[in-house]
Amino acid sequence: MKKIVVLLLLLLTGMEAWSQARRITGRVLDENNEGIPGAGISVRGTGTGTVTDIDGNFAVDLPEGSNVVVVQSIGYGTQTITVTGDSVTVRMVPTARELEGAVVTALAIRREKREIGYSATTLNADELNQGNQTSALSAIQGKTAGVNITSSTGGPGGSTRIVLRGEKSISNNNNALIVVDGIPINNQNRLSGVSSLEQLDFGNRGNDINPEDIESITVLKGPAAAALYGELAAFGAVMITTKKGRARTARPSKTEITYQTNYTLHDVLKYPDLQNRYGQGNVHDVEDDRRENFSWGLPFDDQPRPWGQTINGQQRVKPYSAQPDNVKSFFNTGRTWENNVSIGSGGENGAFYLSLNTLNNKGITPNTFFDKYSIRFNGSTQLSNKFYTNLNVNYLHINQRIEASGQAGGSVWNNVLQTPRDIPIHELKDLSNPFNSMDMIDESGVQRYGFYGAYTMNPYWVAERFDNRNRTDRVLGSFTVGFKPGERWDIFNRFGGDVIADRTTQRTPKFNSEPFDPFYAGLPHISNGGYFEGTSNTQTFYNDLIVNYTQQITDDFGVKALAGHNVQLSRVNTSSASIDPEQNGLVIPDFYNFSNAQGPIIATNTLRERRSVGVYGSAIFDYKRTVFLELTGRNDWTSTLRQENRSFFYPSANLSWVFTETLKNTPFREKVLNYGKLRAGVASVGAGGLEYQNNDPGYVSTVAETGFGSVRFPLQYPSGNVSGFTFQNVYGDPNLRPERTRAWEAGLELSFLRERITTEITYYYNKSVDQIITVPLPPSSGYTGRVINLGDISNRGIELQLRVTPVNTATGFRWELFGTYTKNINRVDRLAEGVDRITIGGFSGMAITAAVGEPFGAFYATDLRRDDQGRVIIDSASGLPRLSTDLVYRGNYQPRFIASWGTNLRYKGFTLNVLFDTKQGGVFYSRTKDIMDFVGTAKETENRTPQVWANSVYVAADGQYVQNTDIQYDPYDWFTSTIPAGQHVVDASYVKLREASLYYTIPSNLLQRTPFGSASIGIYGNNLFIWTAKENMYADPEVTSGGAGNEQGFDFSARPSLRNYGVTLRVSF
Amino acid sequence: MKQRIISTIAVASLLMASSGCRKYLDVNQNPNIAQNVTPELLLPSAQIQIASAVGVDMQINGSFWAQYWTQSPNASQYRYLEQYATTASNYDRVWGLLYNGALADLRRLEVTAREANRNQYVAVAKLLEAYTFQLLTDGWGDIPVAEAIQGLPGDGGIVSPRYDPQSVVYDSIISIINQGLTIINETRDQHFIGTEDVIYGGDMDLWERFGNTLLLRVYLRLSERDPGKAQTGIQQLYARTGGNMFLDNGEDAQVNYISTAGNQNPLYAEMVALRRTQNLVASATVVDTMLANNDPRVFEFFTIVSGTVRGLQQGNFNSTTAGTLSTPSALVAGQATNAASAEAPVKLLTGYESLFLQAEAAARNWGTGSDEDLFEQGIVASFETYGLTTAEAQTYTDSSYWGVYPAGGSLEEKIRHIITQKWFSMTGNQGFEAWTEWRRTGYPNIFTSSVTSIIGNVFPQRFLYPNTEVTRNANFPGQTLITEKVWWDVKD
Repeated sequence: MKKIVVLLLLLLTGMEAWSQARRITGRVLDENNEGIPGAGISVRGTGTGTVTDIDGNFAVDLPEGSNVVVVQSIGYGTQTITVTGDSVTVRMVPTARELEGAVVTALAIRREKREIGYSATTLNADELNQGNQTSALSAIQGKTAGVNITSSTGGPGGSTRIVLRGEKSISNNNNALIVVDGIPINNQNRLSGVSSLEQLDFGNRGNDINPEDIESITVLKGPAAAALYGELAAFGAVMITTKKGRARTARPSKTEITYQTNYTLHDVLKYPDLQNRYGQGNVHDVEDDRRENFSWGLPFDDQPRPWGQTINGQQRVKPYSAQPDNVKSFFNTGRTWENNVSIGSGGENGAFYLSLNTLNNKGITPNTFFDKYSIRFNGSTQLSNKFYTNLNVNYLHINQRIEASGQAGGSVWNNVLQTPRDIPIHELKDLSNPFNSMDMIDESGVQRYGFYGAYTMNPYWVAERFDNRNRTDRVLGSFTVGFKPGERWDIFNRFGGDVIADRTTQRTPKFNSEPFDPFYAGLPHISNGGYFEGTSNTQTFYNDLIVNYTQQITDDFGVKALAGHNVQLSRVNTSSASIDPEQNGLVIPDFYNFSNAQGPIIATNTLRERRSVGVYGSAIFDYKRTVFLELTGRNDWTSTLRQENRSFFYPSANLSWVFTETLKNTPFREKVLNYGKLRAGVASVGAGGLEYQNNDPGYVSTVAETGFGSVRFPLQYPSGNVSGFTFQNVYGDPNLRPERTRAWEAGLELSFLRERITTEITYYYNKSVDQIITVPLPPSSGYTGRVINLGDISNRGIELQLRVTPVNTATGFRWELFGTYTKNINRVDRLAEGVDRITIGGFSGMAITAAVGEPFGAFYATDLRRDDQGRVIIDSASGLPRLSTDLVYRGNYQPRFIASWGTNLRYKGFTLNVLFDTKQGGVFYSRTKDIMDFVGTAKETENRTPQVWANSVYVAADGQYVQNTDIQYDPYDWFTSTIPAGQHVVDASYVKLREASLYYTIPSNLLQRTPFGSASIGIYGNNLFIWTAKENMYADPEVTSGGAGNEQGFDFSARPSLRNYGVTLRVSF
Repeated sequence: MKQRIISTIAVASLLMASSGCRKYLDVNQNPNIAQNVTPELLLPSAQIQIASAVGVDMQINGSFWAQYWTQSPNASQYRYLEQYATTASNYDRVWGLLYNGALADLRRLEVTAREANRNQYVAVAKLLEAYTFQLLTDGWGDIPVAEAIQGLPGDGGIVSPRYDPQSVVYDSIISIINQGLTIINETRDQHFIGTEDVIYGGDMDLWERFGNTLLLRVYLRLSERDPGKAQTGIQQLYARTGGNMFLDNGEDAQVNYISTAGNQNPLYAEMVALRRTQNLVASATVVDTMLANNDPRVFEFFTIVSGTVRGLQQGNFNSTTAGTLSTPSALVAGQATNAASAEAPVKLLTGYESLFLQAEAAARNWGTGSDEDLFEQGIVASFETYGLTTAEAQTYTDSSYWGVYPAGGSLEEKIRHIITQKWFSMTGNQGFEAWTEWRRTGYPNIFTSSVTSIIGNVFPQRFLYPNTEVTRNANFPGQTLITEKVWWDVKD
């Protein structure tokens, strides 16, 4: 590391002395005659130069004999001007976006695309917001290759996982680093459930950013691109640039006010397929059992039949017929109203952008909502000729209520799915109706329920009374002070902060309801009631001090160098307390306060802190602006490793060659191959592990857990309290080293036929070694796990992007087609000796794992036992398949490939966008299937006649396998008691109509007598339709109970995903 | 000049990064855990974890297979126990509580107590360690002892402990008990243990009796496999103690619980967490025998329905005509809807057990005293422990078949009476020990194989090794069958 710094210092000091010069002034303007700030001015043949100020003005000294200046600005063609007078005005001509667009690289440094030797895709605001998604991260889906995005709910709230070029780490969550205006921000997942089996997913924090504030997003896919972020860069980076104050409008006014309003409707994207032949009951027990959640009753006969309880001699009657729309009719149409006002202005000495955003959502499940309020201020000033400042501040307030998923008591979906096929769910809505009630007080003062189900609860009541909320206040932003002492230098310090205060509450109602009906005797609904309240305060601070140096050494040879110093700190302080409904309980129902506990409340607090310091440098050398070589190096010192191991160095190099420059002025270049670039990059990055992972075990207050209950200290004996502490069960290797990812990539970018066809192809390989993993230990060792460095994961793949413009006429008709294709091959190459797989999720009977030789996210589950020929072995008595004793491999959650295709049509103010995307291959586990099979509502339970298991064998007396042709099994036994978890792992392939929209921009001549500068209206939709694999009759494969973490493909009765569609109006003044 | 400023900044940054920041980065000591604890905190931690293992999984398994309890037809939690269809993962929790919970804490207790020169904690740690190893080996057979609890690099770094044969395990247990007893005798009057000892409140005399009684139980367990060793060991024990140093009536080694949430009897806490579902009901095996024998304890151990105690045929959970059944009573923590269950103790080693062990030793002529007197004292202790009077016990020992000691009978008849009587006294309160003694002696010989057994007309003979050993221990010797007997179990 020291060598690099010395080298950089040497480079920096290699400056020339000034000579006699003539000073000229000038201004650089864009296509709208607005000044372009930050344009580079260099005096040909001298190496001197400068940069334009906020209004595009510059002043530069021309040495004797020099009169040619070269003007460059990202996004514009380079201009070479011969200066004759004392001042000059330069008009820049924009270049086509795909070719020479600006790319925001690591540290938020803008570069021309031609300069960079790695794959980086930039999406501008129009592309991002064409589907009006409420999540900026979800809006990337389908728009670039190399990215695997999973949007669990597809609407407001919920998590979005964004993985670039495959999973690389077992202990980290593999999500890309989210950077806003140069500052990495907190992207923590707000999961508040007891576990993924009873999940409360309040979304991940990267989704907080208001999409309307975003000017562009650049996806830095590989380590080569993100290497300058060091430790944070292992999983790539998503660089978000927010809007600045420059109003780039043709109108002379310098202040632009924009108002946009969106009104969106939501419904469930995919409902499970249901059977419509059998209703409530259990033909193997009580055929017509009014208490049942089973639809294993008699076939429908459409005859009137009483249902539910008899209350005071009365009972409801309905025909015994299917309710085909039953599940659907439970949900509301969700509604979101979003309003956004922004004001942008630029003046002599500065510019600002101010935006206010409100988003108010009512969810599809009764009583759920998601409200977000955002204020952003971005300002910049030129303090004097040499100093400048920028201040970006974003305040967010989010308030939401969601329903629990999984098998939690408060899981609405779980109760809905178990509704027998003939019970009209919408008739359960009126909770004041005694037949629907869960906790009425009868005339003798006894609490009673009149709800039909003895084994499930009224989902409307659950949705009302189980109340889970999260409230977040967040301030994030950055403050930059810069100093430009001369033409070549730019020194600035950028301080960023992200401070989050977050509060979660969970209310579990207390009830002890006996049924009204004697038939229901002995089946009360009981809950002790409970309350959880947790707060977390998260602080992330990030400071960069960066020195930039630019020099055009000769006409052909230039260098841009950079040196920087970085300090980071993150601190998460959480505290929570709970009245556990399973051990403790409320005294007074509906009073949610810790003073209302039956026993001691359980309180916990944790502080997690990590810090790091880094120094870094980079140098880009260019030859004739045709060949670019960038070398970077960074050294980090991290607090999470001990002193001897905490320093680590990451180098990277990349090379870009715009080979079409050598064909300059040939007809081939003008007409056929307009642009061609070859690029290659290599990098090594690392991740230092989590806080305290290398620690020795310490002591924690003892909780002796049995299967479900527990005994916890202190023991509050009448004779006095007794405290107990237990030695921890997991210990860390004190010698932990950072995880390392080594990567290389090579790519080609081409543009043909006057930019009618542009394409980009990249091959990459990355190998992550020295995984920091917790290896499970046998308890007889005294411990259950140790954290060590061992394990390799590799990813290799191809990314392809293609954009074709078949029609582009002078009348303004433009038709564009584009597509992406990503194939990533992931493999867990090695784990610790003797360890075949590490569990990253699931439950007993179904584990989502990192397994040696399989792709990350391998499903292991109990499944059917088979003979050598793959035939199912059945039990000769029951005809039912026998089950495997071990967990067997059932596929993995990695898609075989990800692709998207879309089109844009523009004609006279109309814009039509359509985007499809797909993931093919991969599997997911569906508890939606499990529970529907069990209760007999799933479509596949419709065939109930005893049958022979296809291609099955049984074990004959002599031990030989004999083909089974006549031993029948009863589907009832199969679905209600035998079916193993492995049978609920289903194909996750899907095609989605991800986005579709139609916008109309009102011609400006119609607006002349109005106060509006521009106006547009549109209709849009996202997550509109889904086509799934035939065997997936259950759920959108994107839903997951694991949030944005590594536990993917896990529909443990997760919240269903949403279809969103609406109208928008946008005007500017 | 400018260059010089910049160079200075760069160099200063570098220096700061390499040296000045060491302090800034030294924040990786986990502040959420305690680094040092005293013996007072570790002892109750180990005791409570042992009690949770004995009081929940071992109690439920044992009480089902000792035919005290059976699965209620109205629920399904423990059907697998009646089907004799246990799987490895059923035992992860209890094995972990004993190994990485109790034994790991006992090892830390020994280390910290030695450092602090507080040897009585070391003595109690040894006795509890021996007790825990006996639970483990009686449940599973061969288990790691010599190489166990040495995972930390500083302790040897043994991450895959070898399994010791049960014969060796028993030798180790005897040796550990003797070490503990020796330390007690050397340091009895120093550094008292206080009320943090949730079993005996620091009474070292009682701990000594606990150690002696445990040793008696350990030797008697070998009565069928290695009677010579058992006899020699017991005779030495009696010679040392004069036969007067065993636990007596009212000196039960037990953990008491209170009604406060989190401090409740662990079996009750388990049922509360299962939403108070009453899975446990009385088994007809014990109920019918006690009723036929006019044993008033049946009304203490079980709830009364319609004036009597009604049990279900063992394993007959498919019965749809079960009607209302008795459940285990709150005295043994088995009644889910009765809050008094919260305050039932978990019994580790009891006075009546001690008396029956002495009776057996006397009957075999390995120990001293009158076997008949000890047998009757054991019954009195059992009656009194469960709120019955000495007079009621007297009536029972005078008149009922199982209460009258066959003083003139053969040794086998005496053993049959002693063990069967021990079985009655352990109803629902020492289920695992009762099932274990049934495996050793074959008594009581009135068990009926569960009607829902999926492996035929047999009985379970052991616990399956847990998944956490099967899949993680490189030296794991191989899973065994539920019907495979452990080493000391040689009698049919």
